[in-house]
Amino acid sequence: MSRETTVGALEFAAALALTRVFSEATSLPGEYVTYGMQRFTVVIVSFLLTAAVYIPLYFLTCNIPSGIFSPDRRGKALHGFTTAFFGVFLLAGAADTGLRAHYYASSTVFDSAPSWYFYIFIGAALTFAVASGFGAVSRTALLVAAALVMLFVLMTAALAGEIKPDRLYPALIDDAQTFPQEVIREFSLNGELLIFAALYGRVRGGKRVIPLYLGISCAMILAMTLLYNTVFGYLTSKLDYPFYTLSSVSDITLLHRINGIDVMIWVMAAAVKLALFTFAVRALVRSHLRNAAAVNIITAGFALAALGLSWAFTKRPELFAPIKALCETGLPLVIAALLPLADALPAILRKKRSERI
Amino acid sequence: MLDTRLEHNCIDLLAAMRGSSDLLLKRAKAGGVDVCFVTFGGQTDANKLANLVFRPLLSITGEVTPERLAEMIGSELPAACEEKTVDTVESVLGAAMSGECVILIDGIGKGFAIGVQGFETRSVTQPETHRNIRGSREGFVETLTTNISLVRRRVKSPDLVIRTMKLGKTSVTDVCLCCIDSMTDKKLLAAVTERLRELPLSLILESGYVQPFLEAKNPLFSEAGATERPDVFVSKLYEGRIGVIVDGSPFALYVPKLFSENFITLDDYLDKPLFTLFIRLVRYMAFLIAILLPGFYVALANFHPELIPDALLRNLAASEALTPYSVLTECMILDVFYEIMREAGLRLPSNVGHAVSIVGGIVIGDIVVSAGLVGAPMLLTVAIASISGYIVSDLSNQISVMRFAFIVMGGLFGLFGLTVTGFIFCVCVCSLRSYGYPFTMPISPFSRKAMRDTFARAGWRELSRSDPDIFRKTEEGNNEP
Repeated sequence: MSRETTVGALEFAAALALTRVFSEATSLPGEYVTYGMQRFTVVIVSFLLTAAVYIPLYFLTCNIPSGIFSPDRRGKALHGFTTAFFGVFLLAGAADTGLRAHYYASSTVFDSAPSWYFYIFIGAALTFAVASGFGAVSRTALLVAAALVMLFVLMTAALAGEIKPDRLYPALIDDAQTFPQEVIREFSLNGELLIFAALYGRVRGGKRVIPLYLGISCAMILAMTLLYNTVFGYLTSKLDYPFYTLSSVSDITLLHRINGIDVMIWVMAAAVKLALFTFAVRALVRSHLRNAAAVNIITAGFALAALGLSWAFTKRPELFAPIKALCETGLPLVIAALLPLADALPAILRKKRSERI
Repeated sequence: MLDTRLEHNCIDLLAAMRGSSDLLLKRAKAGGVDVCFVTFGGQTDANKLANLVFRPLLSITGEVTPERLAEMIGSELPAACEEKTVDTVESVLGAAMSGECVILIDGIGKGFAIGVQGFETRSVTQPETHRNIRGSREGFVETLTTNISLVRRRVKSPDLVIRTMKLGKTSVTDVCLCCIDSMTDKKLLAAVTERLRELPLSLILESGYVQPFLEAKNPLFSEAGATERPDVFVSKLYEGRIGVIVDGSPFALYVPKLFSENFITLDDYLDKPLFTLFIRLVRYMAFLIAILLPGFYVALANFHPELIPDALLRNLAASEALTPYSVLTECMILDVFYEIMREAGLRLPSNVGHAVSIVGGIVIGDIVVSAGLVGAPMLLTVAIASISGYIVSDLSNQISVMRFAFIVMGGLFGLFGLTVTGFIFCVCVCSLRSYGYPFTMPISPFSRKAMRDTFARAGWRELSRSDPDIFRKTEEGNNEP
């Protein structure tokens, strides 16, 4: 199905950061997001939490650089449980990505796009991307991330006259009641942890990915927050998609507004994220099955199920609500960080002991 | 193997050539020994043949043994600079077909090939493609030896290694492999050599025949570069690439090729770095305009008119209201019409080609607008995109295909169609690997050192600090040419 290659740390980190910023920019209805100065604190605290959760995985990248989902742990009970846990939450993440992309695109500039062709085209793009390989997707992600940065610069330049620094005020927490809820919700958006855990074995210099990813995505989200806070001020808290609204008022003379380009970038980011989820599942399945055809069938089934579920959830959002509520507790991420450690710890200890002898 | 009997060898040669009339066998006596001069008509220089072969041999006085005559040809006669021995019927014919005169001696089981080539060749002229403002005006020609000399003149060092091999079962074409030994990844050299040795073609008339066998099976992009310029070719070798020159073709090939190289010209190295940065950014922008502008225009006009500034939108609407076709149809008609004109202009003699351009561009262009068949803004959009495509001439074919795809998808599905098409093209480019090196290097994967000469070009002082050895360092785990 896909050509097996390894990718560089920067490409993989850029891909993860792009998908993380995608989750940030495309919120779903009912998600609890408040803006204002508190947003900066929320982002920073949530990234500190995320960094803490990544510590077990960092330990694994140092001790098992070939990856935790490798065929040599085939047959172990805990490994099977870890795989099943990852599989379920990767599917939930992929369905959420499809849902997010569809909802965002259809409620903004692509309002003319009916669901059927949205999913058919995203499915086609996903199939092509997965068939082209992990390296191709990571390199594409780097290009899309570069396009996003350019869009951000263009928006900042277009809105230079609207930026009012006096809209910033010295406050860390505006509302102490909502603050913890927001931090947890922000933390729960880091589903990239699952992708990283499944795929870091295929990354050259895997140890560098975590600081790069956390640094790039945190900086990007903070920069976006700064821009829409200084442009919209108190109005920001009433906007569904502040970044999209910013692009909607960015007049670059040639175009009255550049929100179309903004949506294009997020749709591409969604395709990248879905492809990364698919590669992650493929890695999981390969750690249990030797038969390449079976691995391909299961991986294809996963992609189909993810798109099918997200389509179903667009029709019946109440079906997705319990899964979303569970994910938003952040608990699955904590478990996803600890389970591989528990799974790999005996092997690491054995290795250390034999090294000492 | 050749026989010691001259008569027998002559019969074998005639039989092998099936009586071809251009095979010339001239029998004579030199020092009392029967000899035969084997040449092909039109391949040798008559003066060289007379002065370097016939005159010295036929002026030998007295009787000599065949062995002594062979010794004289090998050492004493001022035959020519190039001399080699051949010992099979095939090698005798191969040498003679390459313009050499083969001397066969009765009683000796081998022949002596003397380099007296004199076939008609085109002189070294300015290349038709990749023109530059400053720098050399020399371009490759169809003769392999001349092309090799153009390369060797630029690298007078034993580090430049040139290996010639004969490929093509029927054409037996000389193909030359060039590299700068100290700069080249040996795995890459071995991979290219192997691919050439395994070439299944029996007829090679142009380097374009060899090119597909040096690259991966990608329907859109080529990972082997072609150039008519010896200076560009040498600079590619200096970066650690492998060059391939094919006899009969003025285009030399090099591998691996990167996507970013399509935006680099020789003049970039002769201007100030600041201007180079500006002009390279213009080229990237022109590439994006060439592939995206008509599709984007159609998508905006059909699906997202709210993105267009009001004043412009009013003008566009007024213009489109006068035309009978949909925006998508108009755009497709114009794009196809432009491709027809381009093809006609390319294949026709240059004088007629200019006339076609004038008739197509000015007369028809003006009339279709005044007749109300297409809107002036649409014509302008397609014209700007077409002209932008010429800036990146190496990608002009790819641009045509991509532009058409974007027009269709933009016209049918709006910006969403453009997004999906753009994503697929992006993945298509990023999936390419040329001999283990990603096609999108050094942008993605990012290489800080190679970025010195990608968008911006560092000054010569900075560039001269280290060698441009991006192809010497193997990409860990990935470099499997």
